[in-house]
Amino acid sequence: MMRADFGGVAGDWLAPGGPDADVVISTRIRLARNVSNHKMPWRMKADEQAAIEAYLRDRIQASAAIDSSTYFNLSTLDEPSRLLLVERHLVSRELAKKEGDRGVIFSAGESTSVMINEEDHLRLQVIRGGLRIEECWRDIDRLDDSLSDFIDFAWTPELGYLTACPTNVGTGIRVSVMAHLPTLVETKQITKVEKAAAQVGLVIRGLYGEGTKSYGDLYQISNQVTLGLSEAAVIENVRKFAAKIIQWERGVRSLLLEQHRTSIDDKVRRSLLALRETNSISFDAAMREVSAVRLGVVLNLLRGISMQTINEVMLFIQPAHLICLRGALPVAAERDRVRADFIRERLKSEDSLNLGS
Amino acid sequence: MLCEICGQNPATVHFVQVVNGRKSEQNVCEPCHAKAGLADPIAGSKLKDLLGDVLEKKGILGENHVTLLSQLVEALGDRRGSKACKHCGLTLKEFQTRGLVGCPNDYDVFKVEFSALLERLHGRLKHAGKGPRRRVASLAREERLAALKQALAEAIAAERYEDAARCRDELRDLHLLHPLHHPRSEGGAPS
Repeated sequence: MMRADFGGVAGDWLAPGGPDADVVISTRIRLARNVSNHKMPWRMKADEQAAIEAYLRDRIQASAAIDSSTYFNLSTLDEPSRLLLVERHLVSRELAKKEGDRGVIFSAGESTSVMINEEDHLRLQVIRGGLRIEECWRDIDRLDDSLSDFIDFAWTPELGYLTACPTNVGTGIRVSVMAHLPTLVETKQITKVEKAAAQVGLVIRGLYGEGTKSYGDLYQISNQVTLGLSEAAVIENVRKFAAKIIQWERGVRSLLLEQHRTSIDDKVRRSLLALRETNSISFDAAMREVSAVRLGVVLNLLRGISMQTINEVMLFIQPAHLICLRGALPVAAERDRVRADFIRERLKSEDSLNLGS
Repeated sequence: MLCEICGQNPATVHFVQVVNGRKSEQNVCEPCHAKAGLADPIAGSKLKDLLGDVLEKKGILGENHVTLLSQLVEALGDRRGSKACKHCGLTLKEFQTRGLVGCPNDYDVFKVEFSALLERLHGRLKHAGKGPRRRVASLAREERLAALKQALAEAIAAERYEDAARCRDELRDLHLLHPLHHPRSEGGAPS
């Protein structure tokens, strides 16, 4: 179990204060890369997978491209530990769930991570808080260049980077922006957002839950097309659309505040109270309250709770994190109690910090 | 067996559909199958479900893309060829099941088949982004060398000896530069 490694510390990118952090939680860019002349992971036998995994780990570490890195081979971890990596956005659910030798190497602040043997041999990722697309690109571009000096990537001038799935061929890039859109959800405009995204070749998806329903009103905006556009063009496209969505959400927020201040105020206060007092709460119920509290913080309706705290609560109430904070839990009902305990404690410690001021 | 639709061509496509638990079989020729396919894209077809599933789960394809891809995959499915990649053994049928290639060489082996797919997925066929920096630099150098050799030959033929001298000098400089080669990898990747 990795409990010792993670304790209660969150990754760098959760720290508040990024650009447009009132709407954008984080920005993420990933690049898909494969080794020339080698079978894709799914096509390899177990021993071949093990060999390529060891080889790539060695090459990545030799390149020294990732600062003070931590490495895990997921086949040596138990399920809660793998799930923990998923919740911290260091690996995908697919990597955690599949079989065989597969690894992850990530930086000290957890903003940079490389997955080995997911759908492609390598999936590079850089994640930062707030809207920081250009910064993410600078970092991942540099990482990609460094690694390309140590690993012979499958690439042709005609088709670009050759990936396992044709939907990723070319640049192999996926630019994603995670946004908190409570008022667009409230005013039932998410479908409009979907249509607008489709018009510019982008897609928007709820982070948790099915289809357009999303726990915590969290949505991810990403590009679809990867071939025939430069990386800069893809980035520009996402940036422009994200700017539109941010403005849109902000506009509805001020409108609602103007017209329904009392009821919004009431709602966010009740949510904060619920989180302070609850002794058992499910993940989706908690996310509902957390979303309201986050809105309250952003609109300056709630005092005595910081963005940092609410971001951390969002992360740590996920199932695997609870397990790691308190020890293995067999039953869902217990998890709900532990979740509530954690939330109360976290909010209380925030209060004690504020009592001084 | 003759096509059940036109009754003229030999039936080369054998189509089994299971709708609401009832199985129906059709034996048709390729042209009729293509025509029928366009009219009623793959409702209930195993291929669409499999591929659609794979791609929808990634959450990166909207409904339009899934339908498109399914139609294209159907078109691919008409070929009874047994072409397989020499490196990984992938056949088109396997690609249809999985939606993934077996190795990077497959894009070359199945160049024609994938062209249509890529164009419909991305709207474009030619890469317009970056590449591994040493490869890109090396390719640029090769292009320059070729262009200079051409220019040199033309200059000589046209008796423009000063131009020729300049080309020759630049060629010499380029050749003197340390030749760019493969990335540092002691022993190379395991095969």
